[in-house]
Amino acid sequence: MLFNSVIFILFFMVVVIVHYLPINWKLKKIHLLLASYFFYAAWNPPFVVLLWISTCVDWVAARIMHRQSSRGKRKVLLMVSLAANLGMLSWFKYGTLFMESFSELVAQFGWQWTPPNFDITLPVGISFYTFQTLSYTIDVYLKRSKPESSFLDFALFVTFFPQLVAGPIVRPNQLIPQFKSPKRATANQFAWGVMLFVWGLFQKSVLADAILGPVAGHAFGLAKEMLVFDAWFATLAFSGQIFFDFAGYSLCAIGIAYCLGFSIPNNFNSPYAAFGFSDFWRRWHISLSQWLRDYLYIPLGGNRKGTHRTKINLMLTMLLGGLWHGAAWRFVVWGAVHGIYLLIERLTFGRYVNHGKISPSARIGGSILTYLAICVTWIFFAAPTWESCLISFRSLIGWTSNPIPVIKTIEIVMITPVIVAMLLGHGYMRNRKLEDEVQRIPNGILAAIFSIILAVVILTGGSDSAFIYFQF
Amino acid sequence: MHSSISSSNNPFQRQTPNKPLIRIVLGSTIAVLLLLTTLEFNARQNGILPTRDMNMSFWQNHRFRLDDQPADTTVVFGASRFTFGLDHNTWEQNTGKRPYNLGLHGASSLPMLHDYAVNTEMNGIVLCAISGGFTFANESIPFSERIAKAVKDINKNRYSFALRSEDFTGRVLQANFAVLNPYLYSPIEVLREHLRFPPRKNERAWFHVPFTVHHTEENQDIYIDDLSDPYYMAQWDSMHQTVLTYMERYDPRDLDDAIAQMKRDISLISQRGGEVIFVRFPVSRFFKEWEDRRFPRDKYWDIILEETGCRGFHYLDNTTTRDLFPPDGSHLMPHQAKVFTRELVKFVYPED
Repeated sequence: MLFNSVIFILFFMVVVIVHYLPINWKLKKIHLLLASYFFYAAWNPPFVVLLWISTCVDWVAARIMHRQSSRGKRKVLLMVSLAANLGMLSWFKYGTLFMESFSELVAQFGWQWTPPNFDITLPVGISFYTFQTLSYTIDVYLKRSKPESSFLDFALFVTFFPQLVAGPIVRPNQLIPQFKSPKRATANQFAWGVMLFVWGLFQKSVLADAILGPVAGHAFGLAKEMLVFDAWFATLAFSGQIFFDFAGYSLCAIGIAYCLGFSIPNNFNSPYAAFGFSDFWRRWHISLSQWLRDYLYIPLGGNRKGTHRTKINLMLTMLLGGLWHGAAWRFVVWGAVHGIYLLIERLTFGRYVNHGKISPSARIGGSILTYLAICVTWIFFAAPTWESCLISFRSLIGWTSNPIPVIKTIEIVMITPVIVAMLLGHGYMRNRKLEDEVQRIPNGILAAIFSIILAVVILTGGSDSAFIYFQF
Repeated sequence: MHSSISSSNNPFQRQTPNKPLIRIVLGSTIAVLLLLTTLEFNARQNGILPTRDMNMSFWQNHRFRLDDQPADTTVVFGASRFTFGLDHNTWEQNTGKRPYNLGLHGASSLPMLHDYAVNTEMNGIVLCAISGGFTFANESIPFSERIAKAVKDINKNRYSFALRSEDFTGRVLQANFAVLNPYLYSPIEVLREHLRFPPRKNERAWFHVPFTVHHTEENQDIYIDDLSDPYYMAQWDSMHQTVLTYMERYDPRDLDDAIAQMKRDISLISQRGGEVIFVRFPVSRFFKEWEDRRFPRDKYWDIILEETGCRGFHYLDNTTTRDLFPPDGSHLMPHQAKVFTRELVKFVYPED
């Protein structure tokens, strides 16, 4: 069920009504759990079984693990949890990629093997809820936390519908404690949740889908040599599309949860105002970056085992982070490029970046360079094939023989202010909070802005485009 | 005792601006509803019709409803030439039955034919468009890929509540309120319509489908209402040039493979008493030049009829339809669609 669909609005209205009925808290949680299962099954009913498997395996594994004093037995139970969760993820998300890659590899040695066609459908959001539930068992294994005593609360943690299919990836200690006591939003909190939701929808439906998406999709999908201007413009358009698509979804999720009385953390913090690449990863898809840091980079040794090992750990983390994003080697390369960026930063200008005394002009220049470097990597996301990647990169530097314009003048006129406003907005909001800024806006102007946004969202209409990050 | 968010024990609690937000949200919502009501009233005063958004969920739901039709229903597969070029009313007046149109802009008829053969038990007449570039388009082309994917997932999507419900909400809202026609009232589309710039030299831009002057009804009755504005004509031309660029860019599907699949599908349909009739719609201008060059009749149309043994209605073989000239190169205007439909009926149901 897409947030930008009428049926979701109807579904959510029913959920809100039941949530605010004068019934006891346990019943409300059961209702939220059932609503979450319904939300997930509404897309493809059989896949709800995956959620149940994940929930049951991790619940049982963590409880038994907690009672074990033997490190070996604890490790076995952790392996069971990892095997179940990563096994499902590997099969559904990477099965086809691995089989095809294996087939191509052995073909290099003269062995012809045709992979079976299993026609695997990717369950929506499997990467998100797999990571979310894995953090629970890993925390219990590392004795960072005790297993949850309430199965209902744990199941709701795994399945909570606002952030189930595209994050933010919430940690057990962020969400489960909120299930312990009855929650309801005040009228003002509810209204703020609605405003966040509508602002998120505006980003998704209007900015990402209606304005930016068609142009970027076409420029990279056509896979023909473009003029240098068009190649850069399409790249910038995609940077806006992927930000508004994903940040919009996250904001919708935060708003929906807030309407129900729950608080989930931010997932984006003006990422295109980042000064340096490590700063970018503190601002883009924050919940994933933190997850990779806490459950992959640090367990690998982080920066505690020498310079050489730190570099390896960093690259491994970014490579796997890239693979997490999609079942194609392009995503791995994307992760590798980001890993290289981070290494270069660490080895060269890292200290300068983290130095407090930087002139405003240097900071702005550094942020623009960071943004452009990030934009270039988005081509691995935007281009559907390696060939298209190559053509796009060549077009960026004018290494073309017969380039054509692929963007209409009207689209240039419409997209330019969106990109400029996005960058200025990120720059302005770099060290600010949305709530504080809204606090400063006079009520009448705030009402006018909200009215315009709401009207534009409704008039632009829903679309049948799923959120880009659903595929991850 | 319920606790509000701010009093929870959540260390990640959010702030809420200290403003009368509930009044702002309610006031804004009422203002927006008033605006929509005014626009709707205005639309009705000006005779603007509600239209369904012709997207993939609309098509898939339309396909699901095919399962509820009588087995001998005449079904139509093809791209936009069929959606614009077949006049349902004329067909019904001449045959007594309304056809079921599953045409989709830019789509190949072959996956649709395959779906009909293997996923239904229907045994009526199947009108299947052959349009060269679209019919044999490479499945890597976005507008070709979506139909292939939709057909591949048809049985999975049948049980998707999210998808099926969009049909319900579309029927209740879009089909009844003109203001929900995004082609007319979306501020983004309004900007695209009113900020008119000349095309760039050799432009092969994203095709902004100029649907401002069309409307879609429930049975996929789609009409081009007006092409008199040169700007719209330029939009169609630009769109078609881009479409042709895509089809040049990606090699077409292998004809032998396609015919082999068609023969298997046609065999299944014939075994249960159905008949597949191929239809070639009029084309003109650069579209005709391109299709004649890339998909010449003797290497495609004639071979297909010969190999499959099916009947085929080619517009050039009919003295009336051969003179029909689609102004945009590819689509018949409503008055032309009536003429074409009448001649097609005569071909499908020849007088004894």
